[in-house]
Formats: sequence, structure tokens, C-alpha cells
Amino acid sequence: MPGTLLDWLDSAVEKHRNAAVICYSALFLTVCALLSASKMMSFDEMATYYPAKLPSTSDVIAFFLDGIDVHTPVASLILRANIALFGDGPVANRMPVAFGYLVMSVAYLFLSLADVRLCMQSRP
Amino acid sequence: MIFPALTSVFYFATEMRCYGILLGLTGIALVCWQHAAEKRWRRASIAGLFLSLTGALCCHYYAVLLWVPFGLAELTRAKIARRIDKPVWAALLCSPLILVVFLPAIRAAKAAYGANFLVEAISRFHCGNLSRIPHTQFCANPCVSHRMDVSGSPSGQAF
Repeated sequence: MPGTLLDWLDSAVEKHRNAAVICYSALFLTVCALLSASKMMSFDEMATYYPAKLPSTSDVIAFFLDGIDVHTPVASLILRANIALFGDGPVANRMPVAFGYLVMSVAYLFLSLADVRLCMQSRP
Repeated sequence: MIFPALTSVFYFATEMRCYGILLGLTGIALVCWQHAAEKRWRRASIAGLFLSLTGALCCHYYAVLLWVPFGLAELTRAKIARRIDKPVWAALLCSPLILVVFLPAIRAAKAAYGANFLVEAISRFHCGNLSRIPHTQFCANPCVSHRMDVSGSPSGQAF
């Protein structure tokens, strides 16, 4: 029975690939939003959040150029832009990351071992 | 497609750090590499490969490790085809050049954290934040004294 169900699911996803991506994306982002809303900010997240809240973009860049944080300023700059666009909140702040993770998940749909083997055999 | 959501890496989908975006850019780079190898939208794929790898490196310096699997895959492909795919190699080799932009920050971080990395990183980060960020309610927290304990200098200075 589970085999039949999986076969049906497999053929349904292959038939309606775009619909499957849309449904999965909606479900994924909803779950991420619920998790984000109920999660406390961790120390690592503060390391992104507080620099993003500096008065100006040049302050954010200067903060990282001074070597206070060993990471690149990109995360804080993305968060800063996100706060400017969608406001400051646990869900809104975490959505760009969830979207990035979703892109990686969807990329799996376009990659398969068979395709990679084809790649290896194709002449440049 | 569902597989990444079933692993423990899913934690990073709701972590306000760059790792989720880094994973997304890695996925795009993989798809672009595959399309470039299959000669589907080749120019756009090579440009996408370059941009996604550059973006990944902008997100996190450890993204340089992506060049290991991509380099090995491209070497294998070159060995099988007995020919080097120059545009793909150019995209792979040119994308780390973005590090030049971050060189001052890397040098500053190296100077700051060269020794006693963890203790210095935590204390400097806390106090750097405290001295610059207008969330002054945090200024009364123990990290101020922690900073003084570590370096013996006043914590209010700008780093």
C-alpha cells in the first residue's frame, strides 16, 4: 500500500511539476513562518540583527570593515533591506533565509543522478 | 525536493543567518553547472554559475569550500570529454575574485582575532555592538566587565 501511494505521488509530481513546486513552496513557507514566529532569537542571529539595526548602511559596512565580526556584511545588509521593505518582526526577518532554503529544495527537483551522469558524458 | 526539509539542516531555514541563502545559491550554481554542461541556455547558465558562486562567497567566506566539489566535477568532466570547457573554468576561477572587496575586513578580523580567537571574538563583538548600537539598555550587561577582564581596557571604546 505505501509503495502504491509513493508511486502515485511520484507520477503525480512528474505530471504536474509546476503545481507540485507551488504547493510545496506554500507549505514550506507556511511551516517556516510558524516556526519563525515561535522561535526566540539566538546569539548568532543577534550577530546579524544588531549590526543591521545600525543608523545607516555605511555604519553597517564600517562595522564589518573594522573586523568586529568575522563574517561578511551581506547577511546584515540583506536583513536591513528586508526590514526597510517588510518591517521588523521575527517572521519577516527570517523569510529571506527560508526563501533561500526553498530555492535549494526546488533545485533538487531539477537535479538527479541520471542527469548528472548525462552531464559527465556530454562533450564540452 | 522534500529531502532537504527532512534533514537536520532544516534548522537553518529559520535561522536569521546567511546559511539558507548560501544553500539556495549553491542549488542555483548546481543547476547552472548542469545546464552549462548540457549546453542548455549555455551563456545564461555560465553567467548564473559565476553569479551564484560569487553570491555564495559574499554570504560566507567558507563558501570557498564549494570550489572543491565543483572543481572535482569539472575536472572529471574534462577528463571524460578530454577537453577543457574554458567558459565554465573561467566562471569557476573568476568568481573568488570578489574576495578582493572583502580583503580589508578579512585583514581587520585577522588582526583582531589572530590569537585567542573565541574569547576575543565574543568580547569584541559584544562590546563593539554595545558601543555602536543605540540599544543602550544592553550596556549594563555583564559583557562590559567581561571585556575589561579580557583586555584590561575600558569597554566603551569604538573598535
